[in-house]
Amino acid sequence: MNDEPTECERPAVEDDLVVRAKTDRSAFSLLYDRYYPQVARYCLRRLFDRTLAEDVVSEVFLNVASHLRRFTGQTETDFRRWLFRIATNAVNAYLRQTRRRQELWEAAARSRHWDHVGSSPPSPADRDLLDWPAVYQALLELDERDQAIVMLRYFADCSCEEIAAVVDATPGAVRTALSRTLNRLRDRFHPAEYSTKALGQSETG
Amino acid sequence: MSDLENQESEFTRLLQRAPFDDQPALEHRQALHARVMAEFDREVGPPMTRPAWQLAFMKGQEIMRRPASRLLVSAASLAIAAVWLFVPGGQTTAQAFNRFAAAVVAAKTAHFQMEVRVGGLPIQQFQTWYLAPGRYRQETGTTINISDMSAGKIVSIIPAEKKVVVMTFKGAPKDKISANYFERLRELLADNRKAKEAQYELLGEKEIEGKPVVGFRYDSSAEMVTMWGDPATGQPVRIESVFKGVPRTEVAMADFEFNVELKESMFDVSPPAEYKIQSFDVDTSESREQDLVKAFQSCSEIGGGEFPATLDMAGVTQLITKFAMRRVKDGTEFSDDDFQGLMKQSIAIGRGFQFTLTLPESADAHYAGKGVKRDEKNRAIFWYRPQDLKTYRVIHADLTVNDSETAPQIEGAKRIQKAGPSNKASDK
Repeated sequence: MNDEPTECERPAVEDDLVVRAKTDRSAFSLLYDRYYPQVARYCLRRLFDRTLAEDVVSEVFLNVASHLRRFTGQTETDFRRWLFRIATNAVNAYLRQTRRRQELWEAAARSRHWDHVGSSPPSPADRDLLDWPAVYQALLELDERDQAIVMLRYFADCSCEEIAAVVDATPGAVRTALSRTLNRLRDRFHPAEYSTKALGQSETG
Repeated sequence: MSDLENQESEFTRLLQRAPFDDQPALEHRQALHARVMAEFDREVGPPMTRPAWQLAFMKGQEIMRRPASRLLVSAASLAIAAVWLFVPGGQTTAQAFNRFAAAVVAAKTAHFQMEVRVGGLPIQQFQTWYLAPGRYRQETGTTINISDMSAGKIVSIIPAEKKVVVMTFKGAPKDKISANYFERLRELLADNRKAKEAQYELLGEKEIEGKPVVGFRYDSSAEMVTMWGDPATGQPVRIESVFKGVPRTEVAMADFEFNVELKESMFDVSPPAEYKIQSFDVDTSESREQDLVKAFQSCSEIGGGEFPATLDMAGVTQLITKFAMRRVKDGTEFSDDDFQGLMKQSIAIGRGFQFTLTLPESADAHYAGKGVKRDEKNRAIFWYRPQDLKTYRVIHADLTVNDSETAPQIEGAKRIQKAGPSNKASDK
């Protein structure tokens, strides 16, 4: 992943959309349509449970609808940072309840038997590439800040600068945290094995 | 490439292969859109022209383009709303704000603007005319609703369709049926003997449309009323009510004119000539547990075997939308019989859900039907503790009912709460 403008940083097609959305319901509706998929995917990836994720997504957008008038940002970049901050706080609040975290682990474990609904189904080889539930559990075991950083980076397509604004850190601290987390995951899941397989399949497939 | 870039490159490839369904569900997206826009309207202000049912389904434009779908959804929603809103919620009487209240209580006729927001749906706006005793005319732009509570009747006239929907209320004394919000407010303000001084709050002064007004708040067990009045004339300028029932209902009335001249013909509940008439009886007797079971049955039939996500208007209209989507997908047009059937089911739902209104907080009532299907075995969807009993009554997805020593433990169950100004359904 490079530092080219990410989806969240791409210039807004309509510069005044966020300003208009504070008072204009059609503009607000457009913002919702634009950001619902990103927030939903982020929450699904962090919680591994569709029902829980949908509850959190609902909480996030209802919160946004309640507070948008008082939001002082002017651009979509501002809005997106604010939105993901709300989403991250909501997910973290959920994860802080240990009882729920245990349930999420179980949900992650069940994902081995994932029933394909949406995107292209993984090949049997991909399924066997790693112990995916173990990977999910490893992600869930990260502390909430590191987990947020990883998920924002890879599932919300955010830059380090943007993540820094969401988790209230410096971009340098985000890069360090990312590097540390990736190292830890690589050590745990034997990178030589998975990266060779993954790269090999990527090249041949 | 830096170390971080190398690591990221590997990790990204890995995660892109992860077998996990992270595709957002269209149904949730659409249902949430309606709730979010309703919240937006509440914060920012109401939309200016469209009636609520249209707004609630704006996101489903592709399915709602067909007139039959629009009518189906709107009429069914209207039916549920009518049952919920025009039948007394069991609230006790409360109190007056003396000087300003007197103008409302004494009015023989009135004309005012009304905004209503019910349980998660967008705000509806009406022009309203009142003629004592208990007759109303409300106009939304597309529909004219006329209610005459002494006759126990509400007619909804849809000029564009040349159609009239007539609802006749049966099963309760007519004087027990609250005609609408204005009538409830009048009842509340008229019975001023039981109010305690502590229940009033002086809100101070502010300006409404350039006019200085003074405000009072009255908080009763039934509703919270905020009244802003003109101290110079003694006339109310704006009255806001939050009803403490399910669904949460907020009403604002403004631009009052009292004792204006109104023609009797404006309140005539006879259907206009050459209009198609569809009639429905609405049972207004006290709802019971079995009515709630019937409501769940109707919900599951409309919802293709599913129960609503929430026990409110938003939850039920979501099911009706799905029903309409299925019919449109099948290419089936709606016959009058279909319409009649759906309206009857909608009325049954409204009546059954009313039962939850009668339950006190001590009933510890919970709903856990979100995402549950009718054919699931041994799955509780609703439970409550009847007064003076220690055991719970538990309604299951297969609509069987039994007694239980303890409340079911189901993650995500929502406690049924009386909706006050700031409370929300709590998670279990």
